[in-house]
Amino acid sequence: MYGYEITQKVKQITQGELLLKEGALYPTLHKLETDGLLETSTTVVDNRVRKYYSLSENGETEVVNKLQEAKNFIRNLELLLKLNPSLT
Amino acid sequence: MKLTEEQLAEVRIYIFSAPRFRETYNELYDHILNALEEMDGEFTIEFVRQIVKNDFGGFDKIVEQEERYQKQVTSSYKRLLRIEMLNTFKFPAILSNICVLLISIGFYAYGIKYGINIKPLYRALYIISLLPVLVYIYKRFVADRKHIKPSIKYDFLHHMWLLGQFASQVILILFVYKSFVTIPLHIQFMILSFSFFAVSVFVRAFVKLYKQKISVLAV
Repeated sequence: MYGYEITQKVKQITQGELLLKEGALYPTLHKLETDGLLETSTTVVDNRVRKYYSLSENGETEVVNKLQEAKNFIRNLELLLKLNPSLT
Repeated sequence: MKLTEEQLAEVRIYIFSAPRFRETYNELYDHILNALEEMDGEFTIEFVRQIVKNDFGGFDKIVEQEERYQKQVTSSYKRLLRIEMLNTFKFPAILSNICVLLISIGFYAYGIKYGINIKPLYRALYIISLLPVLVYIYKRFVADRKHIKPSIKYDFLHHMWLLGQFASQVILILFVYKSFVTIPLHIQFMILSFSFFAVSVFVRAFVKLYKQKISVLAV
């Protein structure tokens, strides 16, 4: 996927609730690319160069790790929010 | 909205001066056109101004991010080069290293026993260390001559040719021209043999990295 496509996809999936700003997205994509977690390729579309991003092998492994971290975080948050704090 | 050729040129002129490198420029241009295609109405350059300001935080932020990206790319390639150099000590590349090491030891043993003029050998080493310079010049001024903006990867090539030149100049000044230091001949041979081996590892790693990563640049 290319950068603009990613922002639109996130907007579509979250029905507009989550808006990824390009000022935050592109630096993140570039950092992931230089860390070896993303691979890039370019093609010419409508007389302009388009850069596509995809997960590298290391990136796919990292996604599994990060998803597990996110699940653990959400579970812990749910536990905390269910607590009734005592006033005594 | 679908833009005419004149309008596209207007967009290109508007964003041209801010990004230094063509990767940033291409990505910015593609993004702006994608955003404009989703909009309705008549084109004005004000739309582009708004996209740059709202989506990217303005040209200053774009330039700031580009500088950060350039440093990340250079750092990443240096790390990859170090990994490639270490990979020359893994099988099967280590076989080449063993051959070069044996040749280097041969230089040393023959030179000590028979005494040879080492200046041509240092000059040969200097010429080999010119490879990154030649690659940089070829890439920048021949292969990519049709591109107006330079590539963000040139900074890494620039560092590499500077490193090679600096190292070879130090060797030449200290050991070939004997301006500052008098060194026994057998030590000179040892330094020459080791330098030959080290430069061989560096050049082979550089060539592999260049073929895999650097020669493939944006169209």
